[in-house]
Amino acid sequence: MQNKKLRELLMNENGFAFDQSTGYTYNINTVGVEIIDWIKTGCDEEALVQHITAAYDVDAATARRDLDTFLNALLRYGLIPRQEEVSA
Amino acid sequence: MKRTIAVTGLHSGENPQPGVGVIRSLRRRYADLTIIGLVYDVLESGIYLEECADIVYNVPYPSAGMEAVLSRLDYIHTRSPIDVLIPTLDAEIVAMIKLQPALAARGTQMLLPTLESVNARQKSELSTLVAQCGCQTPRSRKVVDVPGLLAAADELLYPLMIKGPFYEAHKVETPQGLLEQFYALMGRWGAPIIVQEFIVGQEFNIMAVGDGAGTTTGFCAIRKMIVSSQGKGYGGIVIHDEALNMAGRALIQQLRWRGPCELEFIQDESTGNFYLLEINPRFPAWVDFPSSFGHNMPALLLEAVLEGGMKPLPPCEPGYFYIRHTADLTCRIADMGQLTTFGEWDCRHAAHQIHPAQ
Repeated sequence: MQNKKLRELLMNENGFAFDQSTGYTYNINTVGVEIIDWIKTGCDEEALVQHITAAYDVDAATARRDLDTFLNALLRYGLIPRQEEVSA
Repeated sequence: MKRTIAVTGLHSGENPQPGVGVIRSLRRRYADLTIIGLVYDVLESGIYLEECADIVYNVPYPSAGMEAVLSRLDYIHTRSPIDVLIPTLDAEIVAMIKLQPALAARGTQMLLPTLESVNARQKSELSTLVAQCGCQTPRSRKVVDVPGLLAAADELLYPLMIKGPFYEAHKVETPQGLLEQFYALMGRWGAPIIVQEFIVGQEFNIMAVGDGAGTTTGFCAIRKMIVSSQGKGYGGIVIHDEALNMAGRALIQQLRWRGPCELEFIQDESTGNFYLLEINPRFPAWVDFPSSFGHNMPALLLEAVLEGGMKPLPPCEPGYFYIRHTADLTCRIADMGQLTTFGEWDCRHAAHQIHPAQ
């Protein structure tokens, strides 16, 4: 799931992130920071849902729905590749 | 370094010129330079800025002819012998290339591209240039008359960009707007007029210095964060994008560019592809920004001219950004009078540092 852009995303402990290739900056909440860290370790979506349900008081269906929303935002900003780019 | 450096383009108003930034960068590295400001107008704001030029001389516009320019520089040379001249305005570059041998004979050095390089980066030649280095530029057509203009618009479709051969670019959305801008640009700049497809996306600029043999020795890429109504970058952030960097370096290599330049790109927001918009043959107005964190390209130029050779500067670190800030300068009419009357003004002895009553 991760790509070069996400690996190179500079992010501080407060969730302020800087994309070096575009110059865009982002404010990411605590859960988002953790998800990005998990993605960087190579987690797939299923593993991310497990991490979220283990770390927070939330059921798997809610975690999956919120994760989809967050991953779509990363996709929209080009921080993770589209499925076709991964398989190409 | 006890040298005398002349710099042009000292106006920092709505459409700021690079001269003040060049001087500021040089002074960051060499505090003991004597800086000569060459100005076309007594209202160039940098004339009255503290710690800018030491002495200011009026010079004729290049359009007055080579003889007039050289004659004035000869006079200035008798008063303040110039070791290095850094022209910073588009309209000066070709004239200065032609004057280079005469000025070198007088002991004044410059770091300029060849005439061939300058011609190869003209707006009307960009399609040929990018094809030689694997880059892209928006589809464009050179037109000299109304039938050609309308045919180009039919082919490229609205909205369009219409550009003068040297300056000015306008977005047009209708045939009426296109004709209006065509006549206005023809009146101001003459033919050919360039009609170009409109790309939607973010704008990126690269400032660079080439060694003339194909190597890029100074390089800073930014994304424009704030764009003025005139399309000028009033804020920019240093970025590192490999595709953009490769395109910039390939162009400088292909042109065998010698000296400073600014490359302007736009990134198509739907494809992510970078398109070259233009190459300016001089430092940009934001020249001092990278100098402030150690990537000093005017100092690199100076060292190359005076010491020979050019060691590439280390890469710029992404994340630094600038925001243009304007300020009002308080000036004395007597100082302007000196420059108007005598065509020269030694600012070091002037009391233009005005302080309010306590």
